[in-house]
Amino acid sequence: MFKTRVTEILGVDYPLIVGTMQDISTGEFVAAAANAGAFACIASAMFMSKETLRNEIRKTKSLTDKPFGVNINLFPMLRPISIEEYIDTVIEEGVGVIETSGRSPEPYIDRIKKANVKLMHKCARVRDARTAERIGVDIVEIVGFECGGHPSMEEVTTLVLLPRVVDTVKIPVVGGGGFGDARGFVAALALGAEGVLMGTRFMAVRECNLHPNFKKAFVKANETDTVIVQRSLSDPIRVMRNKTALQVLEMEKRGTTLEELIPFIAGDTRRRATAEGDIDSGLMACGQVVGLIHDVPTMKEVVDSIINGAIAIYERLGKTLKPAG
Amino acid sequence: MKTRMTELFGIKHPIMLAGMSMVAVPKLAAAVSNAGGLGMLATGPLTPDQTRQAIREIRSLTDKPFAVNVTFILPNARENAQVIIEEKVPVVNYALGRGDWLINAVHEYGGKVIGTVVMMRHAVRSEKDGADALIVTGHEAAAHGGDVTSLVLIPHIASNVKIPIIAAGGFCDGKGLVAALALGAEGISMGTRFLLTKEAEVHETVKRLCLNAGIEDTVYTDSIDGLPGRFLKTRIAEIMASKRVSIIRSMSSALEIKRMLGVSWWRLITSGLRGRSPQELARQAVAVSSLRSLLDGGDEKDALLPIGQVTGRIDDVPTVKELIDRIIAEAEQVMGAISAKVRA
Repeated sequence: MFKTRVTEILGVDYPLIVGTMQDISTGEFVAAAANAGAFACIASAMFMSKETLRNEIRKTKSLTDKPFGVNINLFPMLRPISIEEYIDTVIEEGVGVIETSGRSPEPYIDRIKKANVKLMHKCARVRDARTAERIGVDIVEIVGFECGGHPSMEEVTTLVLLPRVVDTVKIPVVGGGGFGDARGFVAALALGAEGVLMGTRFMAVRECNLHPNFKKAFVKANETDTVIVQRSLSDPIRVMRNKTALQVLEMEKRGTTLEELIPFIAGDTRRRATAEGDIDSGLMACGQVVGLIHDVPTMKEVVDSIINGAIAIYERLGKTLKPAG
Repeated sequence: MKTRMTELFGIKHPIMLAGMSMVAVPKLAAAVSNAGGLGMLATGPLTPDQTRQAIREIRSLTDKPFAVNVTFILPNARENAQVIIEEKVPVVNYALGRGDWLINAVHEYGGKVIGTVVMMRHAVRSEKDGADALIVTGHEAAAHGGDVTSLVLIPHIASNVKIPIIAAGGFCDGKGLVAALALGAEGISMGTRFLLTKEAEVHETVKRLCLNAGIEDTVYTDSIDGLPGRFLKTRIAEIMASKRVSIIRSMSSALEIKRMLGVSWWRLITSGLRGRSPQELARQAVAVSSLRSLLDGGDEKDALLPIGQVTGRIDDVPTVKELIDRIIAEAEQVMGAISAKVRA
């Protein structure tokens, strides 16, 4: 069902990819997605040593025999261990797929390819997708303006960006940003995607470790309850419209320094807020599609409703598309 | 192809022309209707007499259903609406205002009414007011889209109203049409794509600028005509977006607009743009006069052209009929491909 080059390369049941999310994409979360028939990646940036990452991979394997991947975020930042060490750990543990994001994976591609590991790269501009293809990436993931987290400065929406990328590269394309249900899933496939990426939808599932207060806020939020902050830092991020987000926007508007912003935008602030269930502190990445989310089901219920819903839509469209008269 | 949109308007294909000021003129509107879609006349920059003339011209060019739009914030809206009613136009589209009185008048002679909305609240209100269908405009659209993108806004509104929805913003081909139908729309409205057809009577420079533009070559700002909107990224658009525009230029442009619409200053300010400041009015004047000089004369230095992000996906100028036939054929082919995936 819904076989594409992406399902073939990843060895997954459905062309449905769970967006990798810092502090959320743990082994348990990834295994639950895999068991439900979707594909997910462990967020390696959560692990401070080779050993803890190795343990998480082993834990994931103990929870599922379905394929999964490991995300390696290449965005320049202080790391306890080198990117090479992350990659080598993934390879040693026999994980079949690495997902990169944040920067071009070019410096590491030989290392990954030599180990016969498939490489999926997430980016947000046509030119980055073209680079990914040129250097030998197997699958490119492209996210549009409405996505939670990091869209590009160019602010092109998924509806326009995704088919543009599909027309530009020959490798399979996964589309993300604005998709959260069966309707979006079929729309993405129609636009030429061979896989559909959903992050925000999978934050509001039972298996997600987010504090219940955040899940409640997601269910309550409508499509206008997100904002883009950090444009002034040339690092735009779409987040939930909460007190912190509005405060950051205000500070950016009157012109402020990175130093002044850090207490508000730092990951630690968010982690503290997440732990305490304080939905007004810290920046919580969240896509516009939050307006389409009205429940907190299990991972499997979400995947099943998307696949069954997609089949129903296909049947409805089959009737529509018969020539009139 | 049969959807609630084709049935409601009695047309062959679920595709309509967007009401672009100075572009959606009789020839293009009639071409879209003759090709099986729903053509539309934009009355924004027209006097009531010109509106009447244009409606009659469309009738001389096609016997198929067509639409006429009226944008309530513009000074001539009420009078133009009156003409539309007198001429018993088959389909009427309204935007940027409340349409209950217009809906009642159009229904009285058996016409259909489409409300244009960019947010849920207005969608629900239009339905309550009696609109027969909605055009739902996403962030990627030319000119006045809201913050929310088509991929999110269409399914959201489709879940919350019963009347058919026509998706606008980001559509140019068969892939997009199938996506729109999957999201719960009953058809699509296209502006930028129809601007790039043989029948569109705009200067060649406009078509060249759009063909050359990439998907990232637009700006979205509220400082061009006072409402958040999307324009081609030209020198003047970037200057205005950064809020640096000379007051002298604004005033002289405003004078031009006043002449063009044949209304008094008093009317322009009081009846037209209620509650908007003279600066906004002046900015709007610059926008309209720059658009006019570009469309007619191809003056690209001061070009202010409302354009959708989808301009970066368009690289040809077919006839309207070639375009519509191609979209339908591609939509059928895309469905076939998905169908194969479902069965696989």
